[in-house]
Amino acid sequence: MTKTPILSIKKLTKYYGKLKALDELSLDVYSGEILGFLGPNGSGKTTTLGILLGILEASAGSYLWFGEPPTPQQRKKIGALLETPLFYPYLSGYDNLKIIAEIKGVPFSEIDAIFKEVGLEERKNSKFKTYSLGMKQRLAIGAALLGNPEVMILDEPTNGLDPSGIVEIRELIVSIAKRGMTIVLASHLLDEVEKICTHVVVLEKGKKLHAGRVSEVLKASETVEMAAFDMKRLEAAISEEEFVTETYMENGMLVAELARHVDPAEINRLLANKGVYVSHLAARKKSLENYFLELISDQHV
Amino acid sequence: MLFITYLVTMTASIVGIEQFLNSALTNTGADSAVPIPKFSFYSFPYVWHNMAYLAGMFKIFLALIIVFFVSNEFSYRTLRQNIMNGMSRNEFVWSKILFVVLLSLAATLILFFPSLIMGLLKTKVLTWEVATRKLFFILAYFLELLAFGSFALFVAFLLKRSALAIGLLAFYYFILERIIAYKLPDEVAAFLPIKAIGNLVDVPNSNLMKLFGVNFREYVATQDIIVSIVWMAIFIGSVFFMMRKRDI
Repeated sequence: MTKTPILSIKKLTKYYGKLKALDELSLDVYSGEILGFLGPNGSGKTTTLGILLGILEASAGSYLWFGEPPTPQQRKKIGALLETPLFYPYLSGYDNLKIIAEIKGVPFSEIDAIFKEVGLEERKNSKFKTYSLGMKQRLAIGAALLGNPEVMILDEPTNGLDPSGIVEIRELIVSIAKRGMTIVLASHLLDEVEKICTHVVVLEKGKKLHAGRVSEVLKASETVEMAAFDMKRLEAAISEEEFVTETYMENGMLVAELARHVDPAEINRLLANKGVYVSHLAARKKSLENYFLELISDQHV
Repeated sequence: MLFITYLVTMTASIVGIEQFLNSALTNTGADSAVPIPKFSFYSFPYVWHNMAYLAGMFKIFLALIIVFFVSNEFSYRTLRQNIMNGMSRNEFVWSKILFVVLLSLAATLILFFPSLIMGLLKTKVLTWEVATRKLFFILAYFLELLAFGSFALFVAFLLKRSALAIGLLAFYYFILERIIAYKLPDEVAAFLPIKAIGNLVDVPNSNLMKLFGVNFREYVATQDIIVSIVWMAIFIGSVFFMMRKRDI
């Protein structure tokens, strides 16, 4: 028995004129996942989310929300923040949320709780254009939360904020995630995805480069760096081991990529058995950032 | 803001026009051999026609309000947000059509009540028949606003940006269609949108006009009604069509 994905994307493609912004992207998102959409600017993150939210038309491919073809009705169960907060500048924060509540069919009585949650109670009657960037962003997240949606789509929610604003927004997202809401978060910041997400999809030039659990991505990228008097012998010796997938030199050190976790003591013992004595041995858990940069640069070489 | 400007100009024109026309008339009359009777702009049943024609000249203000109202949704990208929140594209278009209808209705009522009051005050022999005889001009005015509003709606949806939309609207309204109309024979030119919409309420056939020997229609032509409604349908249909598959 298979669970129906909340969101299922099949071979989604989008052209802007001749430019292919999205190239046959397929992926499934299941309930409770916090999926990070990771990619540099212009990799197709916003395009994908725009299509999923009905504001862009896909050139080819299809997607299903809650197992069904898209309708405006479904979007009422999705909270979305795309790129920048979009509100009527000449209306108050409260009136803006009233419009959204009206569209989503949510009672106005829920609006006050939203202002409390995002910490904007005191400013709810100020015009939107008087809000600071951080406040605008918080209002946008509040708007997305209205009606307690099943899914949240957040596109670069911390973009353009100062460090304290970033922390604030991230804390807010983590607290939302704890309620068990499914979240799709697009970001070009790895650190953000690493901290918040359970799953990750790496995009580059509209292509899916990698997808999986964040923890798997981290596990798969363990490396050991070593040095010895005779680097050539060291390389030969370590390359023979079945758990080593690849070796390369970096800053005068030999780096071995491991297929699985191996205790450094074990590596030391194996090398000593072969008569190679290391002068330096360090296990390195490659951060997602390195992994990400590597994925991107692989494509360029 | 624009609506207030509209109100002020309209009121000023409504009140000031008789004064202006009469003084113009008196001045002309001074050199004329024939004595010209002082006429009342406001008396029933002519007031309906006079006012509808006069107000028709200000419809461009209402068109600007419509253009701003629609293009703001694009430039603030609130349209995006509304669609994301679960509004359908057709619902969005309907909401703007509703706005055009309400604005036209409001403008028609703004015209109706002062005309009514002026007519009641200035008509010497007041009967029900006299008071209602040319009331259909007010309805024609309403149709004129609806059709012109649909044109503004179409331009705004087409160009999305207020400056461009206003530019095109003004260019077409003041220049382009006049050139086209000039090049075409009159019978064909009558099918052009602005021309047909403008023809709904023809120039009032006042004593002043008779003086110049011009004779205008004192009725609303069925052809103009049909042509205006067809254009309205084309404009609104195009808006729905444009919004069907467009990236917003």
